[in-house]
Amino acid sequence: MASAFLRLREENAPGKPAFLGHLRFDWDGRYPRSQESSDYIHALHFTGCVGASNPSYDEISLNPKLGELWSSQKLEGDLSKFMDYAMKQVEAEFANAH
Amino acid sequence: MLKEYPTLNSLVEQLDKYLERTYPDYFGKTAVHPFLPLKSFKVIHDNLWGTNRFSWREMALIDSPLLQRLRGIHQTGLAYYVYPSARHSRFEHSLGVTTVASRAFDALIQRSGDVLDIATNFDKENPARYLSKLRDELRLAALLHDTGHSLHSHTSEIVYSDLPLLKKAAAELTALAGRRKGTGEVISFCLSRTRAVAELLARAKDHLIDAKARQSSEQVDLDNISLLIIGRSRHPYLQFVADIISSDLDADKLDYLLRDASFAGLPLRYDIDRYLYTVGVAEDILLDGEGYLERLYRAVGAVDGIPTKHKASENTRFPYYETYRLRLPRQAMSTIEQIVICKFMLYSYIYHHAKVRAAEGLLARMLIRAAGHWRLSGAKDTDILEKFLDMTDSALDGTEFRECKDKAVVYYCNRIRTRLLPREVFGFVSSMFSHVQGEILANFISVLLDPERRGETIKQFETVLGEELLTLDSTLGSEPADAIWRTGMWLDVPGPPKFENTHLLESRGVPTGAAQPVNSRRSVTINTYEEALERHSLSRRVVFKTLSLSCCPHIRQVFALRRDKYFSRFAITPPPRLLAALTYKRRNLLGGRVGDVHFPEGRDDGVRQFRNAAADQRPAEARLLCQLLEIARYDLLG
Repeated sequence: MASAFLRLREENAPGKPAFLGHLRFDWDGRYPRSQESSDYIHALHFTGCVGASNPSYDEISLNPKLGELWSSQKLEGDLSKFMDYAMKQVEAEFANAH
Repeated sequence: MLKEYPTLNSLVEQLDKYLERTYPDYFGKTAVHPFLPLKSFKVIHDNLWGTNRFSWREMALIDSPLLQRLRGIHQTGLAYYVYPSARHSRFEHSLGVTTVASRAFDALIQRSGDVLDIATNFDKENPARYLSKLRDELRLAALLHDTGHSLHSHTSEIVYSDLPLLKKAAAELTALAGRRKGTGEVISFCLSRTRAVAELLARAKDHLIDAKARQSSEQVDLDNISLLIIGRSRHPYLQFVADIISSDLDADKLDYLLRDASFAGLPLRYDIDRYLYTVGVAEDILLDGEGYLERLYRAVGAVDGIPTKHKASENTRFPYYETYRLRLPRQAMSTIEQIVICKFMLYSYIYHHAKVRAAEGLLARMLIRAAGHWRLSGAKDTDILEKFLDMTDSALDGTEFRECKDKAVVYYCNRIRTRLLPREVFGFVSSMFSHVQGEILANFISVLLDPERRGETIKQFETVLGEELLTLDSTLGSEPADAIWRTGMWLDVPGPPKFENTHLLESRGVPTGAAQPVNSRRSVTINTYEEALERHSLSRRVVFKTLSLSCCPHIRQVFALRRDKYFSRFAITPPPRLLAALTYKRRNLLGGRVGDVHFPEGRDDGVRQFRNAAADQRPAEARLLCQLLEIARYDLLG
């Protein structure tokens, strides 16, 4: 997960959300860790937006209603393009992981 | 000198000047200490770790003001207001960490030939000699790791962490180490790199009585000592040594868990012998995706040349260094469980005790106010930092605060000294959201999880509290901040215990346990002087009612259901053995008091409840109504 965010942070594509630039990564083992993205996932979990059936968040399921809500949001211009690009990157990341 | 880290270099220089000016007999140009001839070692008795030897180098540091000032700084801050016997200091803790660190190091050497093999990389002819030098450096790092503390330990750290100079230095140290570092470590790191320390150790060698020892003693590497303090070393192969000083199962933790529990009088123990019997070293990799480690090894000039950085492979996906890490195997599972339990219990009993939090909150606010006053008087960041380095816990009894021109500082100081502590008037934990479909509360909790927005949110929250207090009693002042200061009211969000480096619990790639207390578990309380409210004809009940019904939107769904306060505080997650053992251990430790612990099974409660509620909203509403009624009965009607 952190790897995907790291790659997206490095991108210089138009429409990149500002928060990606604020992410910091710790390098102290076999994978990079980001406190900010970890906190965000925890926040989603505790607010019931996503479900995680194990402690390490290997599998996260999005609440269908929230998924519908997110899908219904229309993104404009560059942000929309960036999100499409980000989705492809993340899909590739997870495909490699498995 | 660390070329790419100018703020750290400048801080080292400033600390050097400070030491020279403040302690000329020890660190000045005409320093006379160590004055008397030094024996090769001295023996010091400790109530936890028994009789231990400290080398001449260590004694030179121990007898210097760097370590002696730690005698005046209580290890657990103001916890002695609740646990009167918890009056142990950072001094004995530092000695304890030194002892435990070297015991762990010795255990590694005794139990495994790997360590000797690793040392061969650095001294092919005499690896044992290299290990002996490394052991000396490890002990010195342990001894110096807390030298940056000021009065009441972590409470004052909250205040000086906000100094721009230290923020910048912490950012540089984070970049240097390749992982997040706080300001407390910055000062210890910089102090250990000062010329003053190097010269003290050099002079100590000249004072050695034993001429043989004087000739044979090897020069210690102060660069490596400073890196060990922040959990790094000169070479990735030596990372396991740094893990002894700074990791989730480090010597610091091993000492303070036992020491804090012991001095507070709590029956918490873990099996140190089993830890030492099982601790080992395992091959691993250190990823370096952003090049921080490469810059570090170049900056300090790694021993035996710059280590080889491997290119990203399909498995690692980032460039990496081969390394050796401290590891606890499966046989150590019981010990790990004990350590985890000890840590949680200490948070529950001591660090997050309502009165301890109240006292430390009061002290922190007093120091913030005092620092603001110093700044208005023209003090720069370095002046404020030096003031903090000058102070020990006894500063509360001195004139700095008691005779401050800012009356609020004097008032707060007197309250702390006479233990007139605020009371908790309002409290909730994030897990309560699981049981209440409150969007506002969810947002509020989410914001509190964000370190960048937390401070600002709390500030806004307190401003709203102040406005509300002014509507209740206009004599409290003209500004919301006045009302907040006068009533001693603040929002307290203590940080939960962390256990993040679960890789330390693995052995040869096989996970033996994963203790992952979720960082987002937060408890939030609002404290205030109860008698201040009484004085302004406000009762706690009125305040609660006003806040909960008419105050800012955040509070409308925030409850003071005290019985649930500690609900779900423990977010220990499977594997099942750890889960089962925790329940069992806790039951043993607390004599059957397990009612207030919540262990999620499988899925988190929040998700389960959300799903239930999504199918039919009515049960959720009914639950909410029941809880509201219960709260009203419990908290308002007494």
